[in-house]
Amino acid sequence: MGSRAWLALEVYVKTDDERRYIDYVSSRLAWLRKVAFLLCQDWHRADDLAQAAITRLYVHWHSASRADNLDAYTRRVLVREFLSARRTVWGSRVDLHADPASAAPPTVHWPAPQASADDDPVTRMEVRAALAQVPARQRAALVLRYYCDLSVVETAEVLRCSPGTVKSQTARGLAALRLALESRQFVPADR
Amino acid sequence: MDESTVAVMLRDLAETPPPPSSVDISRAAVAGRRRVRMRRLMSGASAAGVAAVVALVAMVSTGLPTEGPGPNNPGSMPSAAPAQFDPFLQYAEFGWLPEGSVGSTITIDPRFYFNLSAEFETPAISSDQSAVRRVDLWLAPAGQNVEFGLPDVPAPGSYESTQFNGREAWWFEDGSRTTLRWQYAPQTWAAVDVVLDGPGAGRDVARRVAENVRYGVDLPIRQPFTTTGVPTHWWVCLVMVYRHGQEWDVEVTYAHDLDADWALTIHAAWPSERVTAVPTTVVDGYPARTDARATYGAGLQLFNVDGMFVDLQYYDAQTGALLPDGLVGVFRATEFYPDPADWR
Repeated sequence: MGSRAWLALEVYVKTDDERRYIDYVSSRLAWLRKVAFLLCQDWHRADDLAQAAITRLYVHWHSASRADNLDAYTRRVLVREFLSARRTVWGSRVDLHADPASAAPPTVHWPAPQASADDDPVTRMEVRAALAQVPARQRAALVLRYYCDLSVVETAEVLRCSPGTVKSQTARGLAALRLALESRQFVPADR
Repeated sequence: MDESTVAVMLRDLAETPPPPSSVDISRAAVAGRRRVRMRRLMSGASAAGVAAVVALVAMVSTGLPTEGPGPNNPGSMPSAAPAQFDPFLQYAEFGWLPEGSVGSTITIDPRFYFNLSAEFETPAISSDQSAVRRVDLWLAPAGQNVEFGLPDVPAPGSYESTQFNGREAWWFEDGSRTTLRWQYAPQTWAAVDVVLDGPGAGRDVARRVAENVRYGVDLPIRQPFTTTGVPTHWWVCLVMVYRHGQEWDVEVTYAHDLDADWALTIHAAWPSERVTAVPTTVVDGYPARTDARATYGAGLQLFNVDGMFVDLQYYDAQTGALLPDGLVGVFRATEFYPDPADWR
């Protein structure tokens, strides 16, 4: 159903530039939503973030479309929109509604097969809850470093800080995530 | 917990089945277009005071024009600009364009600008073989310090002062874009933007377009719909009419009052097949999509309404509260005319 909805997003166009914009965003929307979800831990907020980011991308499309790495440009827009929105709109928003997917009990457990069998299984729900406790900037650093596979230098460019700051933000983020997971309540696999 | 563990956790979390997306690319494009328009309009605002002084000096040194507007006399500039533009009248037209214009757009924000745009999908050949992609004419109403084309912080050497019809004017160049900005009426700015495929004689094209503008033609702008679904005291704050061969689309945007931001847009386009989207519902027998968002208002898109795509949007909850039957009510109170010969 989700992919069907994503396919529904090709809309009318007026210019070649706009057509290219729509083609690009349509093809990368699923990825954008995933990154946004990791940053927000909430699909509603993730979609709001993605909406804001692609609007900003449209405004800067003339430059963006000429970027060497359009995905990197778009990711930078998304992350900066996330960090800036954290300071403004989202802080005052409280009327978020749980969606069915958000409310569903976790069905997939981590660790993945290659992880140590001694580790406690951690559900997606728990990871999500733990990640939500990591401060936004540290969370962004974790997502950029370990999901987007950016180097320290690349992450620093996105976050507009020094590589040293990225290292410290990442280390603190890891610590915060570890602490949040250690204090989690275990959720049985068959719940 | 090491870094690879975190990476696995994040990748697994990212695979959480998502709900249907509420991200709307068409809405992003609409909002983005609006921001682009406003950015272009406001790009020279910071230099307004300086320009007013420059304009005054220019007037003193060159004298005011004595002739009135000459609709059939290209290049004859009006003695006064309109206080605001009539959203349903085309105030000016091109008297000359390079060969090969295939599409045109008229956009009018009555308080802030009149924009006439020509597209050249098949590259036109200008006098020096440069391919013209787009030509825009921008006019500000009287009393608006809208200075088109000048960025907040122009790069050194990217703009220069010049004269146009005896008045102060500016050239601005940014890559493939060349802008000539001049006063088409005292203290009131106009601009011609020329976008080429590459470096070329943008100035030649821009100057010739500017020299041949016909002001005050006041051609009626007809619409593919009429509505009784919008409160009568709302006013039209933006009209956009796009024509490209047999294709067209038209937007009319309303505001509650003079100070209000955009409230509601009625948008129709033909043919509906230009829009490929998956309907999620049916409204009055037409395939449709709806979306309601706390942040952005709501939208209703209908497909193949007598061959047209119809898109209704409002932008905030306040407007929604003023529409007792919502966007469906607005749609039902709107009559559409798919054949341009029938436009009102």
